[in-house]
Amino acid sequence: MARKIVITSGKGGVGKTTVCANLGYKLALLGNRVVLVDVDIGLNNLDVVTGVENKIVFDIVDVIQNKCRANQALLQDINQPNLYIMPSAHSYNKVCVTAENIKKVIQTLDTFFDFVLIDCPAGIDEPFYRAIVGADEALVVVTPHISSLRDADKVIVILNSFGITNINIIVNRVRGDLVLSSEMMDVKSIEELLKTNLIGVVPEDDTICKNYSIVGTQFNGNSDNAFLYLAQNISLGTRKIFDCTKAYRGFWGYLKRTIKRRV
Amino acid sequence: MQTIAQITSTRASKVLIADKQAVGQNFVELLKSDVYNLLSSYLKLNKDAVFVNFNIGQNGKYNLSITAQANYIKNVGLMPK
Repeated sequence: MARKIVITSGKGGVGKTTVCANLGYKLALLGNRVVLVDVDIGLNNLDVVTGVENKIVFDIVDVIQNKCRANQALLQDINQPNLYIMPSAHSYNKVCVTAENIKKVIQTLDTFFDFVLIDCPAGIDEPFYRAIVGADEALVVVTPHISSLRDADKVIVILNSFGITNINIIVNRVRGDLVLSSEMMDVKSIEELLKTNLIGVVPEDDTICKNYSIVGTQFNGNSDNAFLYLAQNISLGTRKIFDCTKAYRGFWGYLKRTIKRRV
Repeated sequence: MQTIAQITSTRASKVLIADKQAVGQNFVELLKSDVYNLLSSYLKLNKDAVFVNFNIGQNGKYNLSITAQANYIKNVGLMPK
């Protein structure tokens, strides 16, 4: 039986889709059978991040409408044979997409995979409820900014009220140089503020901007190890948290920090 | 002098606490009613003497205090043989 994990945040633009794609890739790398389900209907981006946007024949809405079977809509990742993507529709059909329908699709995938990662839309409206209803666990992605923390706090309360008690937070886009110079909140403070277990930290990574299709061989940025630790924490139960400040400590770190600030 | 990180952290904490304070009056009434119903199984209570106070501490955790006055303890736990 698969572990069904929803990746959510409340706030948009914090990196839910990026975390979903990279976490899926690393989980697959560790030998797990993983499927990424894009539930962000109408505002789908998981296909672009994973680089499968030109291969889509069927999507999740076609599965719901019985135009195809669930396995026919799945796309295998080019670099990682254990990783599959169920793309979302680019047009929004309000009638057929209900929470119950999404839940059924996720249940169909249950027996074939070890992990079902659900990419949740931003907000706490109906699309959010549709995304969380099929999940057993939640990963709340936050950035070290007040607006993100505020939304995450509300989302955690809602997830709890829906019976999802296994909730962990991922702090994304942490800048180690700013944390060291006390200009950005550290991850410990964020964990204390949200009173939720921290399962991973991902540094701000310039290569994500350069190569938008980050999943696979093109990607070897700073966050590569951070995602590997995150995947190990989730699948193997380890407690490895990536230290974003490590690269900026010591003499060379100080130089790097100073240069980065001036550029 | 506080650093930017400390200022941000304090501000975030205040925002989260302020959000948590926005609990409807209905919630307190509902809680009071449930507390009364539960305690009534064990005690003869005066409904007007049940007080539920609800506030948020500096650490962001809810502090709950319940005060009630009872006239007597009911006979509980005695099943007929």
